[in-house]
Amino acid sequence: MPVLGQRAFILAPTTDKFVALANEEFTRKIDLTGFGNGWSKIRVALNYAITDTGGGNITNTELFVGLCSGTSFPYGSQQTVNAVGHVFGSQSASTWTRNAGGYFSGGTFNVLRKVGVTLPQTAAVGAPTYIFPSTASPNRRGWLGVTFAQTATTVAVNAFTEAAVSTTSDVWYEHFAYVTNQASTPFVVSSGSETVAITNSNTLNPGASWNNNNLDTVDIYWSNATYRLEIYAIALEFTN
Amino acid sequence: MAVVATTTYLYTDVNLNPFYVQGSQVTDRGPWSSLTSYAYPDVVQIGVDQYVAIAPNTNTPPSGIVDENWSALVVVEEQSSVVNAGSDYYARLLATLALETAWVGTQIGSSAYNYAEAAYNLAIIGTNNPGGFSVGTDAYYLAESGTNIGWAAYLLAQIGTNTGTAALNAAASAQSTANSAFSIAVIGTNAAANANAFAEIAWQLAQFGTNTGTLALNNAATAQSTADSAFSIAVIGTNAAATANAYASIAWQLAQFGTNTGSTAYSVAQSAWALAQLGTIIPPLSSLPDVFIPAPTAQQHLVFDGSRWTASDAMSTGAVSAFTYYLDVADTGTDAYETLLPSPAGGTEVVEVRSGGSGATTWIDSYLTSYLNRTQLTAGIWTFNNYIHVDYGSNSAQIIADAYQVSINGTETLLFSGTSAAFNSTTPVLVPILLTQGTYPTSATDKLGVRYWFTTPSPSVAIYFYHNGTTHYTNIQTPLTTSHNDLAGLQGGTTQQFYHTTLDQNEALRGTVGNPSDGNRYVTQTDLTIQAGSVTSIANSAYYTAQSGSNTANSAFSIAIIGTNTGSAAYDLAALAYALATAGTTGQANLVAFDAWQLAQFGTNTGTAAYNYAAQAYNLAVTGTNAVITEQGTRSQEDQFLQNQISVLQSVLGLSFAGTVTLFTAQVRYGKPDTNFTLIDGVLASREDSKFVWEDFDSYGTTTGTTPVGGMTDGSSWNGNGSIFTNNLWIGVNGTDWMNLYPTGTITSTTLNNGTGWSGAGTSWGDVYWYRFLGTDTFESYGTGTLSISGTEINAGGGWVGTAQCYTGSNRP
Repeated sequence: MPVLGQRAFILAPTTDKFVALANEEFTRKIDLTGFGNGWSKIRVALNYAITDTGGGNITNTELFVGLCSGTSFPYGSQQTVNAVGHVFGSQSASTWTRNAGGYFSGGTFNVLRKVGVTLPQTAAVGAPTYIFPSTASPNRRGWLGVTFAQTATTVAVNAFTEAAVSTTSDVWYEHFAYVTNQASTPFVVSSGSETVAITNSNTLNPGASWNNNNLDTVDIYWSNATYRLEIYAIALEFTN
Repeated sequence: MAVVATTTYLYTDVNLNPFYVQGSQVTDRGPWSSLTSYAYPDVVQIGVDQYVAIAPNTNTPPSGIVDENWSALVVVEEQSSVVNAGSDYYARLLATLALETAWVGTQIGSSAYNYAEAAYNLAIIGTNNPGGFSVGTDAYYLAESGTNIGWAAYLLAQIGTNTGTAALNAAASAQSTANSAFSIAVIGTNAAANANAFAEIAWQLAQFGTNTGTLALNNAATAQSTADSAFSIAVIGTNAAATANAYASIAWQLAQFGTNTGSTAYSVAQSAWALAQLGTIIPPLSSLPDVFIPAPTAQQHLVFDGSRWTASDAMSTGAVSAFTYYLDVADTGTDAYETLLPSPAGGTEVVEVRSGGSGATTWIDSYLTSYLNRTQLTAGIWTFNNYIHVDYGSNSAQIIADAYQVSINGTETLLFSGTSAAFNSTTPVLVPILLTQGTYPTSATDKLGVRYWFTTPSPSVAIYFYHNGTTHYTNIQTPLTTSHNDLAGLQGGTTQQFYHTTLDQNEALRGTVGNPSDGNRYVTQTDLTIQAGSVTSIANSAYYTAQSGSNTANSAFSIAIIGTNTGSAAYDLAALAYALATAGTTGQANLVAFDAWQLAQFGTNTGTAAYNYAAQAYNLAVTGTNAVITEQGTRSQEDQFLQNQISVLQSVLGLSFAGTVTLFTAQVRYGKPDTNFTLIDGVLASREDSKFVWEDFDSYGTTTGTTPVGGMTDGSSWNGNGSIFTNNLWIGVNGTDWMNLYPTGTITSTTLNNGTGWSGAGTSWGDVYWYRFLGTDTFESYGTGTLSISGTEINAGGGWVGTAQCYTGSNRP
């Protein structure tokens, strides 16, 4: 099962706790009281890092960041009710390249919707080189966001990660909140300057009634059992 | 002694800063206990001493007058006791008088001022009214008088002030002296404590050294005792050995006598046996009626022919089980005989070459067996298998074999001889000689010798006689059967030494025929002679005595060995003990003891010095106390002068100096100038905190920098400690804009074009894109560890419904 741990950082909080996923899935239902399910946009932002391999690459691993309907049958379930998200990497053919400076990069990504065991809608997402921070010394946390914009017949998924240049800086809470709260393409604060996030997106067209099973739950799945995904904070930006 | 609520006490911190406290402000916790936790203002009693906790502590008793946890609590002065003596009292009293004098002076001055003012007004009136000049003059004089009076009051006030200052200085000096004495006392006490610790260590070292020496002495004593015991045992053993030796010597002599006697007895017994044998006359065999042997010949046997016994030659034996002797080149050492062996010796084939001439019998070689170990050569066929040839085919020769009986004393008796057929082969051929012979009596110690010869009709011939090797091994097949002692598998002894006994001997040895008797000559006979029996008995006794003596000697020898070994061990122990004792005297133990002694001396000296310091401090304190007492009793000139002044002042002013005075001070640590103290006869009766919130930061250090500072604990009337935060965000103030620069109403994309730090006009959005942060969780409120299957520990944060649900790769639905 996931574990709660903590790690020391230079910036506040200097001792930061995290939920670590290792071939595990995290779900939590959003409190939409007063807003209903007709929301326009939700951005799921993670303050996170991947356990450093010490130099080797990570292979055949996927990171799903998305929304699902309820916590009982999420994306990884055989009975998924309704899940939409962005998949970074792949469990069958992907390489998370470990770069000098201690961050990972990769280029296999998909936007998808899953119901039961099928993927009624999928869409490749260009070929951006997303950047993922690791726990390599000095410890740092990074930022990752996925924005979901839904209509009655479509759902657009837009993913963001930091650029490589920002991986030398720790995204601490002030920065995390700052980046998450920016509209459109966020800027990540790094080394005294702001660097535009790497992004790409695609829109799924599942048709009418696709979201009768409302997307009301945050769903994060990390398939690698050896190297952990450490989540230091989750934040949701919401537009009615 | 319990704490008295109305008594003022004094204690210090570790820097010896004094603090005064009322008995009502502390908590009397009774005798100190190791099980109780203390903190300020707890007060404990240890004997007649009182200590106040100046820091939280448990099971840490006061270690001195003051340490990091405790300070001695001493009585400053009891409010209820009025002390009307001493310099402090006079100082207080004088200060009070000075104050009141100043106050009176001020009052008088004020009155003088009023008078002067009235005089001035009158002077003005008088000036304005010439008629009133006289009045003005009077007023002037009055004013002058008032001024003079004011001056007098001023002087009095100044005198009072100076007097008070002097009293204050005297009090400060006394306080300083007392503080110094107190500090010296603390130093002396601590030094004494350290000296005591050193002395205790030294004492322990000395004790250790003494114990070590005592242990060495005890070990030496034990070793000595062991050595003494061993020596005693060795003496006993030696004596026993000597006794045993004497007995053994006697026994040996007896045994020798017995042996000699026994030998004589044996000889006598042999003679007796021979006589007994001679005494038994056996009739000749030929005289028996069933025997018919008219002309027996040697080696014939008795044969029963069905009606009587007759003489007949012995039956010959087959060669199957006969002995075969093989010629071997090894010399026997007897004459010129080489060896006849019962089995082939192998080795290299040997050729004996001999030359001879016509008509001559030429000797080839001679061979001899070992003891025949039999009493008869059985009859049968003797086959001499000779491998031989001549040098030339034109020559011929015959080989001759002569068999001899060779006794143990070297006597040779020819038994028989045989000659082979002529041979003229020039290569080795078998030339046998077959002889049939009867029996020959022998002794067991006889040997069989064979001499080989050859004759030839040729004028000159050389013959080649072969033995050894494997191809032409000359041998002699005899009719001799294998005798008992030549049987394989016999046990007991070696060749010729087998332990065979006769039936009589066997039965005698087994004891199946009872006691020895005349009928069994293999058993010691008892009646050969009287001396023989006695000698035998004596010999037996001597033997047993000798055996006993030998046993005793052996025992004594063993005991002596033990004693010697024990003595050696004891000697070693004694040597070790001596070495230890020597080491205890001049070696390591002595050095340790000497070091301990030096440490003890050092500790003693230090303690003495500390004691002297403490005594000096005590004397100083006593001197100070006595000085106060002396001053109280004799009063110094200055005090006397001050007292006189006070008395004069009291008489002049008619004032009484009893009551309560309230004053303000600006010299209280962490205090605001407005802090209010009430002193009664110089004793702090009450104190009020500052009248309002204040903080002057003077009590803090000078730490600078951007690190947030917390724990601002001083000042007064604050609700909790203060904290300072610095803003170290990277994002600084880069752009500013004041909306009051713009008119009200709907803005456009270019409306916001003012302010500083902007690169262009602002961009406005039709609606606010991000409505709000909805769900957040930073996990900081959770403990660490593995989540449960449900993951419901994730239950904090904002904007969520319920707890989190976590899955692993295998437990997802």
